[in-house]
Amino acid sequence: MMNNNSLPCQLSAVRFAMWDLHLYLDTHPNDCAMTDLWNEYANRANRLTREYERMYGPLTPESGIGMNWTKEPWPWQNCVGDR
Amino acid sequence: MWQYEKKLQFPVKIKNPDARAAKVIITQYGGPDGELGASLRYLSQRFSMPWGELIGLLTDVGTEELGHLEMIGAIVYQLTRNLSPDEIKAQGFDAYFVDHTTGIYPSSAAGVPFTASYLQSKGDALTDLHENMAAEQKARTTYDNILRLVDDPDVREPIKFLREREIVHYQRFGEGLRIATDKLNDKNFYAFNPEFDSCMGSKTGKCNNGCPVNNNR
Repeated sequence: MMNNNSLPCQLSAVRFAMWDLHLYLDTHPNDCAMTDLWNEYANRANRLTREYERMYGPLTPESGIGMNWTKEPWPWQNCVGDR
Repeated sequence: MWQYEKKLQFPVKIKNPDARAAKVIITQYGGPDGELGASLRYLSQRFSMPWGELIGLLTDVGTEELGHLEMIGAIVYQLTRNLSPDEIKAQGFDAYFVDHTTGIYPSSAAGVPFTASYLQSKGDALTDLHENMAAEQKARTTYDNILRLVDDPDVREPIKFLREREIVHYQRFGEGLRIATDKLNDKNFYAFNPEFDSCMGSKTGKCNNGCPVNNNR
């Protein structure tokens, strides 16, 4: 279902890059080049998150409540082999 | 996945250390009715829970419990700062101290280390919801008992907040139980286990309301 250019895949990649940089910057807080790169990814992540949530629903409790939030599938329900 | 928020759900600002209080409050970190067991219970039960509303409830309450775990850790940490070895002995904290110094370790008030046998994930929606309602009441009783033993308002206020959350969660799980029974066979709630038994003739493969019972119970 997920090819490399799909929205979920792009968002996961950008978020993971941000997180990996976040860990690196915990121990290298003065690395300006990596800080700039984090900011660049953060901007892309914001844009992709808005797009993702428009298509698939809220990612966090801050961006949705009620039936929007509880609607299936949950992340572990990938339907393969469902009875 | 989870992301950390760098704030407590309710503030913890304790001026006076009190190792005697810390010794009983640690039980809500890693004791039989503590917040670690609560979060693991709900976050584990979610996977096989059949309905989106109930998965949402378990996810959200389980997540809040992790925030409560952090509050208890903060309370015990603040209660055990700047103590001399003599104070540690006089306040009965020496048994904990010898193993953990003033580090935060998940154990009960009596020093029993955390164990997963404090919780259950039974793979049956009705059973798990009843487990959760009982768990919230047991935690509420523990907070009531802590409030009987502790006078300092700096400690009581966050403990009172946590006690109230147990009552709110109990209420929500009760509503969750109602949501579950409304989806089950109203002649016999136990006719099938919606987390295990398949429902013949159901288009979605789920045991929604009106789904035929497929076995001989």
